[in-house]
Amino acid sequence: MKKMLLFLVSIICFTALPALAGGVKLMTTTELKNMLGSKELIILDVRSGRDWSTSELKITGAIRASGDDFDSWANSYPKEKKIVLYCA
Amino acid sequence: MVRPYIVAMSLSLGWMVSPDALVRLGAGIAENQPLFIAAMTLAVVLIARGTSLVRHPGLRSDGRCSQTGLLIEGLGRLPAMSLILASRFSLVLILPTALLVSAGFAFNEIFLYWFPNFGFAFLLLAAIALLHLADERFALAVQPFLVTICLGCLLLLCLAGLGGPASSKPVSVATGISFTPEVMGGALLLFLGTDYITPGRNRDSRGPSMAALCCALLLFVFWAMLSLHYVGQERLSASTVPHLLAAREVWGQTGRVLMGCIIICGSCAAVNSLFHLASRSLASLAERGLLPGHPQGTFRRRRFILLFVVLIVGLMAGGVAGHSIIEVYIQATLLLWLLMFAMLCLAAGRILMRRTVPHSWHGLALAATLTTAAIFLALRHDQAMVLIRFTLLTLAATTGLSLFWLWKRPASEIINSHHQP
Repeated sequence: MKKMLLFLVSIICFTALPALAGGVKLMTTTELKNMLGSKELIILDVRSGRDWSTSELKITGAIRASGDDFDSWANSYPKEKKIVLYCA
Repeated sequence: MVRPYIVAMSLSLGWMVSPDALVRLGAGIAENQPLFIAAMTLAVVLIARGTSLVRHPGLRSDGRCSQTGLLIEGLGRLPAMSLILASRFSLVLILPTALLVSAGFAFNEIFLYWFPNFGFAFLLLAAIALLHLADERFALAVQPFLVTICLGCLLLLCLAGLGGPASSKPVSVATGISFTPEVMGGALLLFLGTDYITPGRNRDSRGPSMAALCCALLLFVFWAMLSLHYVGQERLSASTVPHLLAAREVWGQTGRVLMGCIIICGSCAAVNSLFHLASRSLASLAERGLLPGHPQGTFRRRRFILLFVVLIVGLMAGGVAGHSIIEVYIQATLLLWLLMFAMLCLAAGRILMRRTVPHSWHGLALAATLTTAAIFLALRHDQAMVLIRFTLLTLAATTGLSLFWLWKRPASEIINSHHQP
């Protein structure tokens, strides 16, 4: 679990600037850890190509979603749920 | 006397020890189980027979022969130029882009979490490029070390798997035999790389190829069976990193670290051998005046190495590896490699038939078999149209370039039958 958390921290650091620029809320690894398993949480893995296929670290239950097709799936998840995206 | 043999063998094993080959192995054994082992054995028999023809002592008085010379003599200048340019350029640009990124991710996830994966991929590329730029001999000296680390780590994992207790997790036992023709045919792509080795003077160059093939087959069979035993067919099939999964199950964190070493060293070995393969092939064309833009005998190897590096950096920075299309391009380049091997068999077969060497018709039969396999694999790919378009465009571009060069410099090419690249 520690490895996963470290991984998530690195993801958040990597994505912080673009996320802030777009007004997207960030989540700490502790927050996500506490929410894992919750039915109110949807985790979307938006990595593609080798970023995804060569990675050993994949969050169990995460749904793959292509960043290129954002418009096609953006409205397909219930908005009342917490949607977490990770991409690196 | 032993060193050229070992260098030649390690160059042959460059692609076979790469992480992509291990992924294909894991996926293949998960899909077809014991039948995939039979497919691998058949693939090795075919590739070994092809290599023994391509490297037949009867093709040259001293038992050595160059790919370029063989293709020119057997098929003509235009097919030789087009195939070599298409195969080598696509290989040296596409595969390193993907492999180095894989190595970067492995380093990041297994060894140092804070180190950027792309940073590590660029560092590896810079290190390999420096070796080639400094002196080709350095690159050749490093290759056996890289391959030895890969084979040693894989052997350790196999021994740990054989000696250790089986996984505590329940392993699914698949019943029945699954047969997927495209996965079975894909076994051929695992054993590419034995077609260009260049051992020392007056040596039969078939030995290192055969040793490399036997070594790879033996380890692949052991590793595949252990993977199936420890991980199980369902989990292997669902994973995109079956080799890492199996290593973790076999030996826990130590297994992950060993597999991480294999991924990084295997990527470096593959990229190193591909740089060597491409630069040697282009030098061989240049020496015959058949490299577009180069007067006969002038080949600036370092400029080409720099060109490869700049293009690979461009592809990596452009995010090609992070796009799923890279897998289609990789399959296309491997099929072009297989096609080139098929054409080498055809050329060798035709030349040996003219010299009434017994069983030389095997070259023609092998060429037909391997070409059919390449076409079949292309047609059965998930994105067949994209793959075929990429392959045809690459071939059309290199054929056009070769035609233009032959038209521009029609009398410059001299075939030296005793030439060795």
